[in-house]
Amino acid sequence: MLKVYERGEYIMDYLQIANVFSEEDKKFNREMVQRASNFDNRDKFLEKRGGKMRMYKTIGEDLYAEKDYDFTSEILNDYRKKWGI
Amino acid sequence: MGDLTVTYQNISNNDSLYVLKRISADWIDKFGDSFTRIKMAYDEFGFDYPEECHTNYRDSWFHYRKLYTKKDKITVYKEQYAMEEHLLRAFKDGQINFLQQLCQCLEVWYLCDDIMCYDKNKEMIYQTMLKVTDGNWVEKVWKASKKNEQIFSAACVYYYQTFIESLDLKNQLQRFIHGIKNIILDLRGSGVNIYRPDDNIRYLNECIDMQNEICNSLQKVNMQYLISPSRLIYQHCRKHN
Repeated sequence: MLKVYERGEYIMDYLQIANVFSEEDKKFNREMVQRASNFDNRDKFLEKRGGKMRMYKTIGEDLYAEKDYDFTSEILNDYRKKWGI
Repeated sequence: MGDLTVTYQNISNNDSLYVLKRISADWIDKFGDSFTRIKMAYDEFGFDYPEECHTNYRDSWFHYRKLYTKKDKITVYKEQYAMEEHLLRAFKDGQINFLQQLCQCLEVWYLCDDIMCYDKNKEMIYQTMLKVTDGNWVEKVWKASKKNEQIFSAACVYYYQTFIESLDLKNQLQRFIHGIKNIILDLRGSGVNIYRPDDNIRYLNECIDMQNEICNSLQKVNMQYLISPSRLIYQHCRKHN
C-alpha cells in the first residue's frame, strides 16, 4: 500500500535556522530594512526579472487592488464576484 | 486535513480521484510547512516577503477548491497541475527573493571600498559612537547617532573599513556571493529543464544551510549585524561618480 504522508516522519523538522539574532535584533533588522525601503533611491536596488515579482514589496491593503496579474486576472475577477472580496 | 496519517487500506482501488485530491491536499499542507521555514529566514533579517508568493499560494487554493468539487479525472488533473504550478512558483520565488536580498547585502560589503565612502573629517565623531562594540554594536551606533541615518551609515562604514575588513573576509564574502548565485541559477534553471526533485526540500535546505553558514561565519568578526542595514547604509554612503 502506498503511504502518501505521515506527519511523524516529516523531514522538515531538521531544517533549523541558527539562532544568531535575538528578538530585539530582529526588530532592529526590520526597522533598518523598512527605512531603506522608504528611502527615495530604493530603485537602485530593485531588480526586474522576467515576471512581475518585485523585491521589497510587502503585503498591503492594495493586494487585491486593480492589478494585472496576467492569466490569474480572470480567476481573480471570478473570485471577487463570487466572494465579494 | 494535515493531522491525519494517510494510508489506503480502506480506500477502494476505483477511488483514484480521492487519491488525487488527497495528494493535492498534502501538497498545500506541505507548502504551509515550507512557508513557515522560509518565513523564519526572512524574519531573521527583517526582509520583505514578496506579496506575489502570497497571491500564488492563494491562487493554488482556488484550483484546489475547483478540483475538489469535480468528478472527472481530466479536469481534476488539469486543476491539480495548475495548483502545483502556483505552489511551485510561490515556493521558488520565496527562496529566490530571499537569496537575492541576502546576496545584495553581502555585495555592499564585498565592494565596500569601490562603492562607498564616508566623511573622513568626522572620524572623531564616529569613534566616540563606537566605544562599545560587543553585542549588537550596530544598534548601539544607531542609538548613539540619535537615529540620524547619515551619521549612522558613515560610522558603520568607518568601523567596517577600519576594524573588520580584511582580505580573508573579502574572499569569504566572494565565496558566499558565488554560492548564493549558484543556488539561484539552479532554482531558476530547474523550471526550464525537465528535472523535478521529488520535493522542494532540497532547495529550502540549501537556502537555510547557506543562511546558517553565512551568519555563523560573520559572527566571528561581529559582522552579522551589518547585513540588514546594508541597503540603508549604501543609500547614504554610496560614491557619486
